[in-house]
Amino acid sequence: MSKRHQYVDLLASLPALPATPFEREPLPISAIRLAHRLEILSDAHRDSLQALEILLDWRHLGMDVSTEVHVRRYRLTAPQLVEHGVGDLVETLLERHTLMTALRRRRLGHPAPLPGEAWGFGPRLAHIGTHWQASLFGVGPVFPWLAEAREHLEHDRPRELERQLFEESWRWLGRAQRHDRFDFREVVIYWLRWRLVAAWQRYNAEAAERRLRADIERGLGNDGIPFSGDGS
Amino acid sequence: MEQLIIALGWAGLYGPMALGAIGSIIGCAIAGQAAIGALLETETGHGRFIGLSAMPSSQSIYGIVVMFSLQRPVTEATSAGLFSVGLLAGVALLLSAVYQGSCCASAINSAKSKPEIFGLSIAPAAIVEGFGVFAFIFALVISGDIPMQ
Repeated sequence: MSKRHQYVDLLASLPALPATPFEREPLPISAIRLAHRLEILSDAHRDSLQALEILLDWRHLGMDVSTEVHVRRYRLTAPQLVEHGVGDLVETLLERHTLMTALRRRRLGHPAPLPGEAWGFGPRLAHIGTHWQASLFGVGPVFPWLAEAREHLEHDRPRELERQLFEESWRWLGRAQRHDRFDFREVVIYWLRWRLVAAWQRYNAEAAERRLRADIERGLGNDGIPFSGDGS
Repeated sequence: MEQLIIALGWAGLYGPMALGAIGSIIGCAIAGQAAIGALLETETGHGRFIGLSAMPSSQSIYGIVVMFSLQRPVTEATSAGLFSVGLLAGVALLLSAVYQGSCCASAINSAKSKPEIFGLSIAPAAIVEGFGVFAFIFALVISGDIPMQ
């Protein structure tokens, strides 16, 4: 069977994702079930997916991992990802992280990165460094979402910023889909989109829990939280 | 040279059957895998997914009929016609079966989460089938012009 239809059974077994990542419905497939379904991937593709997770998931980007180490990780795995047809996906997502990093660094008053400094990803690193003081680093026409993201960042609207970045990623992944191929790239696109839905639901759940706890604390005053196990 | 011409004649005679069958094998395998995957995510409608996945098998039948319509003694006089008609009809049947399998897989993938579009989602596969039927019918028509001896 050609690589084109390599994962037709896997993709047909995955439920459709919602129209946007911001829907209120529960996740169409749980993380455990998704991981179980993805066991059908070949060893090489499973390695690539794991490498993708390490590159993109914030859990693997602790404070002890320097930018140089992260860039080196990317350079080590990039050839394998390109070979499996997902190099452009990860590069675009990492370049988006880089642009957000640049906006945040500049807002904190950091100077432009030195030439040759490993501070991000993508083919426009030098260009961004050169145009550090330009409002959109001279790449505004290439990344139309950047102007709105800068507005949100400068007006301290983190939720709106996150929502915009999610929306942009969701739209871009939708455009990258090729519904007739059923190959590894389509599996990765599904996985990335599922992560967006799951992440947004997690944010909502965490925010709801925070609000609930704050309301309880406000309502009970100094009497403490019931059933907290501290005997109060 | 004469032996080569005769061999090509035989290839043209058996070609529509073999190529149609190869196309059906690939097409049914693609659509069948999609149907099996969809079974995991659906509670009902399993039969129609499996039925749809068998759609590319018709090209094998067309290939058999074309082969019988071409059947005649393979000689230097008939080989060129047998080879040309048989091979081209076979390639058309093969491609239509493979791409029909792909269309069926997409239809199954879409209809599993939106059952109300099942009928409409089959339309592209039916259109592809239509082109296979064109190749089949006109192979029958044109085979009448190939000399019998």
